[in-house]
Amino acid sequence: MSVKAKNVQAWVSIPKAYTPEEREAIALEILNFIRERSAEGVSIRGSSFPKYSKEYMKSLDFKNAGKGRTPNLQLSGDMLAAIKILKSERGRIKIGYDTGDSEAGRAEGNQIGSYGQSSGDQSKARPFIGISPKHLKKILEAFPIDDDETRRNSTENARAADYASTDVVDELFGGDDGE
Amino acid sequence: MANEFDSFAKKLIAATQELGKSSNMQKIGEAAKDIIKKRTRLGYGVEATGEERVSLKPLSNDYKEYRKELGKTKKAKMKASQLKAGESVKLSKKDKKRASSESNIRLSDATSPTKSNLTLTGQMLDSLTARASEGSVSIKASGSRNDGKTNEDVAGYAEDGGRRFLDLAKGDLNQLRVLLSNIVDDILKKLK
Repeated sequence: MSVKAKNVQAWVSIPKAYTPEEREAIALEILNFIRERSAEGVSIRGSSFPKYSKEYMKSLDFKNAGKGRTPNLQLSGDMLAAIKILKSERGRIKIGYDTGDSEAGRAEGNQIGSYGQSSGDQSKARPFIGISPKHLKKILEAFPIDDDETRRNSTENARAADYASTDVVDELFGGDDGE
Repeated sequence: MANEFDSFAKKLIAATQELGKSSNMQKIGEAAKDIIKKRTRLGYGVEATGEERVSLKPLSNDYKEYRKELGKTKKAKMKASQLKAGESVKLSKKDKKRASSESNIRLSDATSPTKSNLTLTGQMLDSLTARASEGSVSIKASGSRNDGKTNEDVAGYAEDGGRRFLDLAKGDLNQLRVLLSNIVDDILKKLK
């Protein structure tokens, strides 16, 4: 079954005034927010994710992953860690998964509630790729258009955190997936 | 423009240096160890660092049978101790024989007879330790076991037998990058 781009990718609109570096920093903050919100069991719409089935909660994998009762989209943790910036254009950013990414199928399963089946089921879906206008506004407050110093500082911090973590992981463990 | 670049470069250097300190290296090592242990318990290994994780090679039928028997022995021993405590449980003849077995090998609760996740008693994966120093982190199985082998030997048998698991898969590295990014974020806020 091939993954549909519309199910695993989302555009986020932001003011056109932002530079490419600022867009990158904003996108990184959005990705962090998505990971944190999902880990708390909250969907893109602000509602709680549908509960786990009793059968799944009794499974060995559930136990070995150290999962609790709150659905947090983390069995191995790979799927949420893999969400990334796909594209950045003036006034908008695309986030999510490449359709060929090894985590894309799992992400699609959660987004539409298909979980390996041929069709989705909205009652089981746990949509997480995207951000509400309210939360986007909150993130953008750290990147004020009319305050160069604050915006520059926020941009540098977000990008430095991303670059430094990649550098250190690559140096320590030799991880380089060519991206 | 030059000043802006300098400011970013300074932050990047400061963050990287701070991450390189042994206390942060130990945190990174512990996180890597936990990621490896969890991934392996879920039944996945990795051929080489940065590659996609792969399902661990299935167990042989003979070995599954052996593990089934261990599972039954464990249940029988539990029943026997319940009986001793005065609880009303039934022990079949086979269960009595299993309960009297002197074997100290128990099938771990973190596996099943048919699950290939490098877990029989659970000792080897539980023994994984991370050692960090400035600029390096190593993760390995260590210590002795209740079957006379060492955990390092058992990890070696697994790797030599085609079930490689001690490297970090692509997903493992992604998880570490996210974790480190959060640590750096905190560091930069303090440096401000």
